[in-house]
Amino acid sequence: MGIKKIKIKMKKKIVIWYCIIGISINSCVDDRNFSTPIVNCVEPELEVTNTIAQIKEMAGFGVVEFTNDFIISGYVVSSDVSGNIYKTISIQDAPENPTAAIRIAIDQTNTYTKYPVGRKLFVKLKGLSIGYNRGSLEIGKAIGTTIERIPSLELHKHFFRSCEDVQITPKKVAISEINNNMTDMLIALENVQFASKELGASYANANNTNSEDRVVVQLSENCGFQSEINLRNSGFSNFRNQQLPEGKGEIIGVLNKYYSEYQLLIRNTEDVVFTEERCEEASNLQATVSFSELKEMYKGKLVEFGIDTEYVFEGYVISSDVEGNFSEKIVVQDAIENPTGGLQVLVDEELIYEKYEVGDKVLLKLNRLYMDEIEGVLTIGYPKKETIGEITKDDFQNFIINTNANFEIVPREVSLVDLDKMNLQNTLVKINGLQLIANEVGKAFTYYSGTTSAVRQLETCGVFSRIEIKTNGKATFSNEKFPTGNGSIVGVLFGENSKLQIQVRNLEDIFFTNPFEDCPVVEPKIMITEIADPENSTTARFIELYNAGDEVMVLTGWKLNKYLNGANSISGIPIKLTGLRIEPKSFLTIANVGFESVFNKIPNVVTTYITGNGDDVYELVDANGNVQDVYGKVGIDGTGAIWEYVDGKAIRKKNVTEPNAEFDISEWEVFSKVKGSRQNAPQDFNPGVR
Amino acid sequence: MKKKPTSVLYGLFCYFCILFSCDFGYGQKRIVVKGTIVVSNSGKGLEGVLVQLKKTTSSTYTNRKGNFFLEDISKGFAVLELFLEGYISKNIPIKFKEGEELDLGKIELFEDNTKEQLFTTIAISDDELSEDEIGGSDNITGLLQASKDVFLRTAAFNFGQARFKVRGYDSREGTVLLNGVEMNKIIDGRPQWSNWGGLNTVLRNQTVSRGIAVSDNSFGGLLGVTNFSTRASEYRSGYSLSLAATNGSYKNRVMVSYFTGLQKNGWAFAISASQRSAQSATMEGTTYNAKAVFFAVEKELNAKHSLNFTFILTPNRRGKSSPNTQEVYDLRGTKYNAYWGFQEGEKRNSRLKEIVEPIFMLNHYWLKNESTTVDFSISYQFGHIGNSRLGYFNASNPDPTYYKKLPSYNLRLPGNLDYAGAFLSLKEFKRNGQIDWRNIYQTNATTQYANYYLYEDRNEDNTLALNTKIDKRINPNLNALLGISYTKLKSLNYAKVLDVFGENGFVDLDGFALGAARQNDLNNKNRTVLVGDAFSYKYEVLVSKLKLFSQVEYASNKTELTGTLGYEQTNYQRKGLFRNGAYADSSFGLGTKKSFNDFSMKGSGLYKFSGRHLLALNLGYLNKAPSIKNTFANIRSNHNFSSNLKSETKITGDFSYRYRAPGIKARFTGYYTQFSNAIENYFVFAQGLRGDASDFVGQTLTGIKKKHVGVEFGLEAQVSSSIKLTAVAAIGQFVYANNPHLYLESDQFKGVESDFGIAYLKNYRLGGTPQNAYSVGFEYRDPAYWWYSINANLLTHNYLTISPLLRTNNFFLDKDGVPFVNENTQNQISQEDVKGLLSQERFDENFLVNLVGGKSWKIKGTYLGLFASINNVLGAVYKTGGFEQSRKANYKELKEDKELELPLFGPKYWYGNGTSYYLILSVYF
Repeated sequence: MGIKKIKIKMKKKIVIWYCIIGISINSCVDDRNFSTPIVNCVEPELEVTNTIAQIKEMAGFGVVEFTNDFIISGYVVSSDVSGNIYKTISIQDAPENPTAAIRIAIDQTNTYTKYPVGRKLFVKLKGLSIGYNRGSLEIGKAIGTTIERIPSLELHKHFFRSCEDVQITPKKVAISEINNNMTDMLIALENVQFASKELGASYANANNTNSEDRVVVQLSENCGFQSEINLRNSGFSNFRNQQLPEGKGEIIGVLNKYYSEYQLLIRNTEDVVFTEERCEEASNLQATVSFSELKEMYKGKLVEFGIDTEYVFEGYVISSDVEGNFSEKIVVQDAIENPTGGLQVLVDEELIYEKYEVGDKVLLKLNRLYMDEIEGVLTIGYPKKETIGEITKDDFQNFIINTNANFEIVPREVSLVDLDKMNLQNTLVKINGLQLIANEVGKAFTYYSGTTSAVRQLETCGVFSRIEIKTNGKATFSNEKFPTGNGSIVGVLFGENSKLQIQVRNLEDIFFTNPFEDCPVVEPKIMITEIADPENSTTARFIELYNAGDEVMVLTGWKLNKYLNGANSISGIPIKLTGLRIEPKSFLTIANVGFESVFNKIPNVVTTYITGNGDDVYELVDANGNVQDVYGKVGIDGTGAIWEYVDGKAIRKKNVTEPNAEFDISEWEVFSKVKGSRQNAPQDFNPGVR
Repeated sequence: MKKKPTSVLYGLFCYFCILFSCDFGYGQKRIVVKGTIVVSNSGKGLEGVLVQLKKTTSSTYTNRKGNFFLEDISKGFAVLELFLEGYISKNIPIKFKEGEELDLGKIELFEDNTKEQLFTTIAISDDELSEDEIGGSDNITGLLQASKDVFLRTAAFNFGQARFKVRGYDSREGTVLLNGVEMNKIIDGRPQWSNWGGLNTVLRNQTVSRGIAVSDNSFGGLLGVTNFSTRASEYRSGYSLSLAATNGSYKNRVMVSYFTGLQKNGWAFAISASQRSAQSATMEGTTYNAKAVFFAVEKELNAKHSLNFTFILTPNRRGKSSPNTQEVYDLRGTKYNAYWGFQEGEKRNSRLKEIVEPIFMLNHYWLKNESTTVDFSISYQFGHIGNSRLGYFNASNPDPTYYKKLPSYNLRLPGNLDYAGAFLSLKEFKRNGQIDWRNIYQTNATTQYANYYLYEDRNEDNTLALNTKIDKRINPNLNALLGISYTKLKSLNYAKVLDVFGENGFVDLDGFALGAARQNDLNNKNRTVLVGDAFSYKYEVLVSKLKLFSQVEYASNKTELTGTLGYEQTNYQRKGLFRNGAYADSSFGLGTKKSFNDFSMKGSGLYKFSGRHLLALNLGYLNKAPSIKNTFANIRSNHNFSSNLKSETKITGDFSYRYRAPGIKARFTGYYTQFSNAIENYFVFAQGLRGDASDFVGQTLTGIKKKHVGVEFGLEAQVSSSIKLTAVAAIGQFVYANNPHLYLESDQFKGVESDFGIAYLKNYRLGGTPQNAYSVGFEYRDPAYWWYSINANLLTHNYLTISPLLRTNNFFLDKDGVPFVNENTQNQISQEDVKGLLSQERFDENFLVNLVGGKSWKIKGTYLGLFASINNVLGAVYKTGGFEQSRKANYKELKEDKELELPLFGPKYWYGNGTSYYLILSVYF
């Protein structure tokens, strides 16, 4: 091998080794080291032509398109960082104390990464439009007659970011001061907390994407309610599952108007700054109105308490819907013991007991509520048609403030016979000596199946009057058998005095410890014993009723009818005898208005109804509508009849000791002008004596 | 039928009899000439060498060990010709007498380096992609490259570019060994080609066995075993240098090597290095940056003992390309890649795959005596694989092909078609349509927080493997083998922050979860992560694997028989390093250990009617533990195992007829394989689950049965000394053979809820490969050292990979368990309605023409070679694969989407490269 060859070979070797070393060191493909883009800001050279306020003034009916080269600027106050605000940007005209703000709809998400809060933004309006969208002004792109979002790919034609990046100071306002001009501004509400009904809830829902409104309440210095606003939380926000904070403090948000209602949108939960203890309204509320004052206010017509009233009623819960017998109402009485009365409040809520238990002391704020009488009891609620309806689910807790103090309510013990004269409606009573009437024994509270409500009759042996117990068909015990024994029942009393009803909270309210008694049938022996038509005074006409039996008779539901001049139907409005009672062997006088001065005696009932002038029929009817006693023949004019008592009287013969539903002239002794035996008052009459 | 245990025992007894040399006594036959042909530098037996007596019809081929036997030869002088493609032919004059047995001993054949056949192959194996996504286009052609079989060669060189898979098998069915040590990754069972890519010169010493045919090195899988040998003494001394240019996966390659060969002092050294690079290859924005360094040293201690040390380091980093919907391809062409964008004027790819896993290996070769060899090796591999991608939190999806950014999104509401919006999107996508890096930086700067970040899913494996093999020749016809290997792996996996684009970092939270489930690590709540930190998930998998295999081979001049038994014990245990908020109790610390014990057996028989006609039969019954990926239902979050976890069973058989005559070689094979109890596990985002839920879910398909059946045909005809014709056909059918069970796992779908019941997959085709392929070729080889060949290929029956979720009851049942209503008929949807939506797409057939040529010169002891190839000369545009999206997971959702002119969630496809060239210049001296 020659030297030349060796040299060539050496050269080749050098090339090879150079390559080997070169490969190990050298890297010629650049796939990881890139120069970092320099993120600098170039201020756009744009001249603002109009203020936001001026632009808003250009809005008219429908959609107004900008055809001029208008340019506005503003500071971004909204942010979609949490997903609560979606595809809109709100800008206002100053970082502090703004005078106008507007919302711009764009078809883009994650706008906060480009237009963060505080960034000044120029908007070229040419080609865009302004118009109302769900109650508030919005800038967007007109499609026909509606405002739509600006397509993301057209944004660069309209949006120009300034390099100015400022701190936005939210505008401090009271909820009550909020007005149209403030929509889309960043506002701060101080001294606010979530309404008590919202406590325990999350901003929206963890397991679905429904949006929720949460009521924020603004309070006065001493925790009094001032006003409220909805905090609107999107079901797509990343804080949708977070619990609402319980404290009190400040909420910052973008004001929005949804049709006629204002709502606040937070950018993220850092906008809710609750640093103080929650204020419980109840501790600052004082009762201002008593039951008797309320009763006084009720004049038979719907009472409107108005907006500015400060009526607060203090009461104690006596009803319970645990077993479903009471539903959609709360009954409160005005004292723990010996109440003077109570109210029932209608609420649209299924599980009231979770918030109001029996014995809870509550304060009822009547401001903005209404009162009427339903089923004989004073009822509070929202107006509904001519009367009262339920307070809505969302609102009732704002009116019924639970102090969370709980007391044992002692029911008032009463007997059936005294019940009708005591006005204990809407209070808790304990009626002793009750049992089912004989032909209801064996029945269920309602029926053995189904959800129809029903009433059962209860009685006390030896007392003619009865009381009904009402059971809701949806109560858990409604299909159970009604206990057969005898004892006391605790419940809430309601209904007219003429027809009282009781409603129990649960089965423990029925204490039937004694065996069922076979009550002797009490036959009322109330009879007409004297009918007077004195010749000398038409206003001293009277009718005397007599209890021939041995029991006190409570005349609840009884009526006295008259039939004038041979009428076939009852004349006028009959006299209701409810509230009256006759002791055994005693009398009751129902008289016209002149009776007292003529006889110098006070009749039991004074009424102009007693006008019988000799040819008219009187009829006594019991609570069941059965005729108990009658004088004269219904449908026959007594003129010329043997029972005519014109200018005279009819007296029951002493030997008659029972009423008779069939008129029998032989039981009577009749005096009249026709018979020549005129009678004058007072000497010829003897009311109250037989 | 139940097998009697006694017969099994008897069988085993016989087997061990053979193994431990009960001599069968070999009937003497009249062998006239015999010998063993070996490769010159390695001394390894060379299979398939044509041995023929010139001017006679007597010929034969060497067997796997390189042995040949020729008989019935007439007396006198003759010339024995030895021929094998790729080797320099040899003529040996011999003289013999009747009845005499002539043993020629070892005959060496030298490699013919003038032919650059291998380069084409390497072009393909470099392309090997192992995407983790569904229907990922992993390629198995690397396994076939060194094959001498015309069918497999055609499959590799010509069908490979269309992602053809031999017999439809996944690449995990092929076993790759380095000096006998298995290199398949335990995580997914697949060979990781990048770990030795670019080392073509030094990995030329390969032993390949195909299918379940016998291998001396491992039990192997269904696709066979490839063993690379890196003994420094086996390389022929000299320098080599090659330069390549291509427009395929990369642009340039430089490769240099220097080998000393075995020196007189008993030392041998081998060193090789290469670099492949591209700033942007075939697909837009696909960078390629691969280097390779190889070093081997061998010391022959004495005649019996030799030690070889090997070091391989092949750092490889490349940009990936995206599968896209047809809408995207229609707008931007088939070279479009959504993963890159310009950053300050440079193309930056967001998805880089980086592999750096150096291998250290020490081999001890012990030639105990003439008939026994013992090999021992110890190997250690560490390093990492990282797959990067963009992450984003509370910011817009940076993917330029995100469905809301495409025109189809504006046209998704049939009653409210927004043509103006569609036009804007179209313009925007055509003009910009790439990752907007500037916007990413700007966003982070605006929010002072890393809304966007680049991270990688990082896998750091530490593998220690011990391997030993005893090879004993009991008598000239009987050989026995015993191999034992033990592997221990600690696989650490986590997401690692690579870049926060200028900003401070971000908080490690799951943006789609609520409450405690938001925390990716409850032990470190609301942790801010910075560049280099782990986030999202972090766990280790501890694996140990014990493998035994033993084999008995019997060979005579007419018959070859082999029986192989394998046993494998696999243990997996997960160790969570994060306490996942959604799985607080099942994510942290050590999980339960899972063990699999698997027995496998196979056997093969070869019968030679004559040297020309051969019949071969292979049968196998194989069991294999599921890979780590398939063992755990949702490995990133928790310890839970996949439901119905079982080893996969494969029953396979093939039958071949081979014809080998001078000038003509042909093979015809029929095969049948059934997979059962297979598990597939992957992640999808689906809408319309259980009526109306949507979630990112892990899907596990269990108890899968698959059937692969077909025929293969290969023919090579040497028409003249310079012209050769080839014809190849593969006709197969790869289908799901049952209705497997589907489970979904996510925060929403746990426990009973995760059971989605049966997936009705039976008779759907498996996607990801043409099932039929045909090729004809013409080759001209000029005596003046230049040659060229042309191949025409037709590939058909390639199917879309289907989504199993769409084939469950969930597809047609509403939340309340009642079928959906057909909106047109107002009746319950019928079988016909469903079928119409779920029919499987078959891709168009494609026709590919490839040209290859080369020339070599020898100038004063220096060999110079030039090689050139053009693939897909006609520039055919074709889909190589694709998968159905699971996003519209029920009838209602899918129907709405499919009825659109431009579906939003249509299948995603991969397209084949267009025309590509390859040019290599190489020098040896």
